[in-house]
Amino acid sequence: MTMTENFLDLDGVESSDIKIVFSGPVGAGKSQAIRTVSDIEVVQTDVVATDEVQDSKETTTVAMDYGELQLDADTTLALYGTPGQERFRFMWDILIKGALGVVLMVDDSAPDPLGDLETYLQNFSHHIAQSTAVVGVTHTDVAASSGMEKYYEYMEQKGYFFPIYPIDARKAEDVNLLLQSLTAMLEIGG
Amino acid sequence: MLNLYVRLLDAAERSHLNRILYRLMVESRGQFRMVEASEANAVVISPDDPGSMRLIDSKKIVPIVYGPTPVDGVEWYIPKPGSSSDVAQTILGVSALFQPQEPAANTELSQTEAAPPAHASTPPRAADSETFSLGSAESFEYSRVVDVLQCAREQQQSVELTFAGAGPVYYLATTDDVYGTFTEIAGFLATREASENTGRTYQQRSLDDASLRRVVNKPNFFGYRMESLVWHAALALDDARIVDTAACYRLRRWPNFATLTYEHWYMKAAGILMRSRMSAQSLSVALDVPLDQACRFMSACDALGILELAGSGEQAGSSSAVPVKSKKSEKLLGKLLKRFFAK
Repeated sequence: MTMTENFLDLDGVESSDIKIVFSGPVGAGKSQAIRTVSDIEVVQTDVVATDEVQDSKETTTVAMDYGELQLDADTTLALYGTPGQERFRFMWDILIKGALGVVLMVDDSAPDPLGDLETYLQNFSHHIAQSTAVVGVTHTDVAASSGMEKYYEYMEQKGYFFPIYPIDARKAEDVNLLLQSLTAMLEIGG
Repeated sequence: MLNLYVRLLDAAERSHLNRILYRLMVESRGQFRMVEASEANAVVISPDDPGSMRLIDSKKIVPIVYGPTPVDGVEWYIPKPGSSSDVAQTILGVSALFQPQEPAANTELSQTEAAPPAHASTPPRAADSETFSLGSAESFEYSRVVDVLQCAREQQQSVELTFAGAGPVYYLATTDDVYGTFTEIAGFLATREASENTGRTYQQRSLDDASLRRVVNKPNFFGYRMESLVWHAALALDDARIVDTAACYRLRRWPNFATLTYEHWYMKAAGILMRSRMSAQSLSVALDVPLDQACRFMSACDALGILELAGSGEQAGSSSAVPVKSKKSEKLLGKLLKRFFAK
């Protein structure tokens, strides 16, 4: 497959449909990342966590997060955050349709972050093949973190060529780095 | 005669070789003496002091030449510049020739430029130190210092480097940081000045991490990520390492732009080189950037150890790898670029 064939057809994207999807497991920082860069107050569908998530966070996203970036007077880039739990998987497919690309976020302090990454890369593989993706690894600064090396090795072994960075979802420059990389990937054909 | 013969063709190969030699020095705990031969394009590494070879089995030292050349039933070769994995394998192979020595607490190595042949002009060594002579004018170009640091990094060996007329710079292996005062760190990056100063010398000393931590715990010292240092240096070098602009390379890993300085086109270049093999020439054309900048970017990736020479027979990417987009697509991308890359 050539890059040209692989390139997301941006012609079919209406101004009102321009969106980027943030996805990843619970606690990876998707909601925070959108809050960090959104130009508007983020619309969230958080509820008090009552399931297995309640040990790690007080509330969790059940439908989606929604933020916006104003590209110019006529164009708005929507930022959607998917819910992390697998039981809301149906939402992933709904939100991903027509997205310019996917920002996958992984919590490095989770028990199996590489497994999480694999799950999401597999889940979005069809869409990623038609568009592009970037990966942000969060919580690399906590004691349980073993650093980025395992991710680089994993990406190399699996033949994934997406950008991958350690990020802090609370920092605008870090989230912007993901969006810059996503844009650059779109420029060269995803 | 205990010699390693290496035929050098150009500065890039010399730089490449230096990484291997440094590894040999480290592996042999400084039991080597290297002397630039008077021959125009050869380097001879030979023992200056028989005593210094006491831990090396002389029968196992074999000539090294380009290409698989059988010598006493053993074949050795130094791969062409640009292939990190080949270098590593060669070094491992050559290093296996030597009997490992118990690490000394403070093995001091000093490196001094001298005119070849240097056997007679080299000052006497102290029992715990070793002097290396490297004769050519470019011996102490900044690229070489970066190579030394990069090799220390690969060896996970903390070192102290002291330059003539300047304070020391330290590499701490456990944290992968380079420490020094602002002046010294800036001096590392002042490549032009360094390369013009052919009389520069530097001393190198291996330290254990505990000692080094005490040394660098000074108020005017600051840490600098090793990765960033070699990245900056390679981007700033006048003579990029990637000199064969037609040779095809690929990236094994995505550069960590979270800590490395970058320009917009670096990301596109990384994306292209991650997916396809491409030469500096093609990359330059594909991204409409000057060839020397494409070379420097690839050199910087090489310095990080994430670039590799494309295997033979594999199809290289071409300058047409960047897809042509419609005006509508370009318009949308233009808006995204304006939003995300505007200063």
